[in-house]
Amino acid sequence: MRMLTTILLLAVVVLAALGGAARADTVYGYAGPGEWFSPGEGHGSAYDNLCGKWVDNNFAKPSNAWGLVTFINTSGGWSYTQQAYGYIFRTLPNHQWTKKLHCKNNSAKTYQGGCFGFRRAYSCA
Amino acid sequence: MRLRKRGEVKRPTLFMAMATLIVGLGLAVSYESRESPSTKAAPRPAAARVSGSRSAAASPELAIETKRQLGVFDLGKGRRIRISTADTVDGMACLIEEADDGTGSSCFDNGFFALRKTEFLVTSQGGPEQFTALRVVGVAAPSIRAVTLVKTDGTAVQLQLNSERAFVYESSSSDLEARIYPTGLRLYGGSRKLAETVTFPPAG
Repeated sequence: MRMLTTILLLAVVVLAALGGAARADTVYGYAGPGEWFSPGEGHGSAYDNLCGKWVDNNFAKPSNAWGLVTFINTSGGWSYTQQAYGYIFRTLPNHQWTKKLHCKNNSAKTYQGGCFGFRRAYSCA
Repeated sequence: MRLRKRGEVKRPTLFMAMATLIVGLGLAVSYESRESPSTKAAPRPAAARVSGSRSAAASPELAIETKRQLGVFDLGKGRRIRISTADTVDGMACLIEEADDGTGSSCFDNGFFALRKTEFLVTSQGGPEQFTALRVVGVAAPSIRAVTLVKTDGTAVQLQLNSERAFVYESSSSDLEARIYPTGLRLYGGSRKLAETVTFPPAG
């Protein structure tokens, strides 16, 4: 009986640990790093869903490289677009809407960079 | 008191050890999942994270003690924007704007003004063809006395620099409807001498 209790407790601990891992938030790279961005070249992530929401967008690139990050809704519209030189980081005031991440070299120069975002996990089972 | 034989492990102790091992394994898997995306390798950002922030693995890791406020600007209708600078723990210099519509920043390996005499961000809503809101937020180098913003229709607007040489420009509704957007900054030094012109793409 004591052994059975021990095994059951262990099973609960294992399931809890695995559940925690399954719900883990994730940093997801959707371009690069080290990707070459030609003038006008952009990259995008997949759309988020009930199980995970994008909460920010990052474009790691050199200090002399101009580019943008934006969040694209299901109609293709852009929101919270940030253009700048250097490493761009942009957050959202509210992330409970369906969107994908996008980064783009909207300059006339080619450069190397990487784009990634933070996806917050939600229980969706 | 029960005496144990040499080498005998108490059962509760064994249980605790196993539980600790499993929880540790679970946490390790969880951490690995944060750091490594499922299909692509996450880039290692030059700037990392803000300790304790909600997006701990992605956002720039600022050295909080270096944060310096450059000004709070009133955009009208109760909207405000806060401009500040801060260094990351790995030595990048960041220009930060904080507003009701989120936080944005740009960070530079070699500090401010190494490549141009102003650092700035362009933030917009709508697009990519037509914007419904657009603002330019920035700071000029110490040697700069005046900044003029140039628009796509060729007109220019003198920007108000505060005591920290920070500035904010917001496009008017009429300009946005006419698709007239900012596309450059003219920077003037002493005696209104043009020191530099920085251009940028007017649209996405």
